Formats: sequence, structure tokens, C-alpha cells
Amino acid sequence: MSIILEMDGNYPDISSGVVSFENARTGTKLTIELPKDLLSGIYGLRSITMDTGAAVTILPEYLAQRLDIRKPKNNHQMYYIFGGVGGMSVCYHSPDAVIVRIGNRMEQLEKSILPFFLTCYAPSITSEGRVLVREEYQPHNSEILRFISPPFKHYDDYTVEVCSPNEIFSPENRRLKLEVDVGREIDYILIGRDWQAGFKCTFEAQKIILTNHSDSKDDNEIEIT
Amino acid sequence: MNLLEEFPKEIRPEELGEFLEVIEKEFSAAEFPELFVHYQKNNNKIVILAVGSSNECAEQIVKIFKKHPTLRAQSGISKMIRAPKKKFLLRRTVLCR
Repeated sequence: MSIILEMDGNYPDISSGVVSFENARTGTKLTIELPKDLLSGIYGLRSITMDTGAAVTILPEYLAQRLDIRKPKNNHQMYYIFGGVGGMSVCYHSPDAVIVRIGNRMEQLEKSILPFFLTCYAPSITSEGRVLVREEYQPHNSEILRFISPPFKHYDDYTVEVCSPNEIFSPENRRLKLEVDVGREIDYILIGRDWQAGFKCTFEAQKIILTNHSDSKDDNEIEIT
Repeated sequence: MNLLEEFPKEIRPEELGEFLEVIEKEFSAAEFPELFVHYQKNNNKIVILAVGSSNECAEQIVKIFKKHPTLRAQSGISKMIRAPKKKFLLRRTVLCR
């Protein structure tokens, strides 16, 4: 089964269809109808991006609240820090699995993920330092401090080209797409960063096509047309 | 090890450390460059729900919840054993006690 969604502009931002999230434990659901709910601003989101080039899914923390996902308790809480060309992100790993469903008006596909939830974002080396010295992010021991000083190293592994809709997207040539309206809501919600194993993704100029692997001849194939 | 057949698995809280060590050894870095353990904890026992990549853990958890609905009552705990730094984890930190 395949679904076809429209995408917008130079990056595969999904601009049509419905994206829904369900807390697999509690059953709490959140449905975002595109583009209506993005334009309305009720979720503080401006864009939903389908990205198959990186390894994890990062969602805004307030989505955790809406999905009834509680932040891990203090004695279990651990922050993971991601850095890249887009800045530094402090996240925690979801204690509950989330079922993500993406659909057009005809069909929908689903995938279960354990996303990371973004608690804090620093767009620069200077602001990163200010974030990491906060008490809540201090580690048990001094081991981590070696990472903090020298403070920041760019990891460009996911970088860098952003192509026009008519150019070829190379799966290895994507960037860490995390753009944040600093201090406010996140501008983008990222889905699909760890979906390579679940779906075959086909990008055609202004469309993104997701196909269940059971329908695909080659599980590892990502077609670019 | 067939993960879906092995889990959920109950162990005593004091056995968790040893269990994690075994998992780290049995699940080699070559085969499992990203490795999480997802479990639930209450006063008397630890219930291991899933082992594998973050994504694999999610799939396992959903399947286990369908098979054992009573396990939904408790929120889970994720512990990262390892991750490939190049694509995933750069640093991690934990709260002061």
C-alpha cells in the first residue's frame, strides 16, 4: 500500500494529508490536518518535514504533554544532547512508544517510534554554553565536561545540500533539519528520521510517496526521480 | 535471541545491573550499533519490554501492549546502552542527585 502526499518547495515538507500521533500506552491521540492546522497555528508548528537521512525523530516537548507522555522521573531522567549545523538540542527519550500515522484521504500508514522530545535549543556556541551550565543539565561526574570544553564541535555528517524540487535528492546528502524559533515554539516537527527501515520513500518533484515494505521489491531502496 | 519471544521478561530489581551487562555483551556493537533497553519498574520487579534500536523497541512495546494490556498501566524507562556517535548521540548528561 502506498500513500502520496504533496510536499512543499525545496525540502520535503509535507503540505497535505493528515498526521496523527497516539500514545501507545494511554491511547491519547493528536491529529494534525495539513495544511489547515499548521496555518491556524494552534500547534505552534509551521511545517512537518519528512526526512529519511538521519537517525532519530525529535518532537517538540509540548507534544509530549498533549499526548499524555510524562517526562521521566528525576532519578530516571537523562538528557541527550544533539549537535549539528542547525545548533544544539537537548532532548529526553520518550518513556512511551508513539504510533505515528500518516495518511491521505484514501489510506494511511503507521509506524511506532520512541521519539526524543526537545526541551531546550541553542542556536550558537555561545548560547550552547549558557544552556549546558544550567543545573538541570549538569552531569553526575566531570566526564561530560570534556565534551563541553572545548565547547562545540560541528558534526557535519548529515550535511549539506538542499536541492531544488527538480534536482536529485541524494539520501546521504541531507542535513540535520532542525530549525527553531528560539525561545518559542519549534518551527518544524520532524518525522521519518528513523523510518528507512519501515518504508520505501519515493520523492518525486512535488510529491512524497510512502510505501509499505511488504509491497516493495527492495527494502533498502530509496528511489529518487 | 528472538526478542519478541523473550519479552516481556520479569527480573528482580537487584538483577537489573547484571541483566544490562549481559545484554551489552550478547548484543554486539557490530550487529547492534544502537542499543536501548526499555523496561518498567515497580517496587517488586523489573519488567523488560524491549531491547534493540529505539525504533525496534517501539515496535516491540506496541506488540507487547496488545498482547498484555495490563502492562499499559505503568510508564516505561529507556536506557541507552550504546549509539553510533556519527549519526546519533553526541553527548549525554544526567541530572545531579
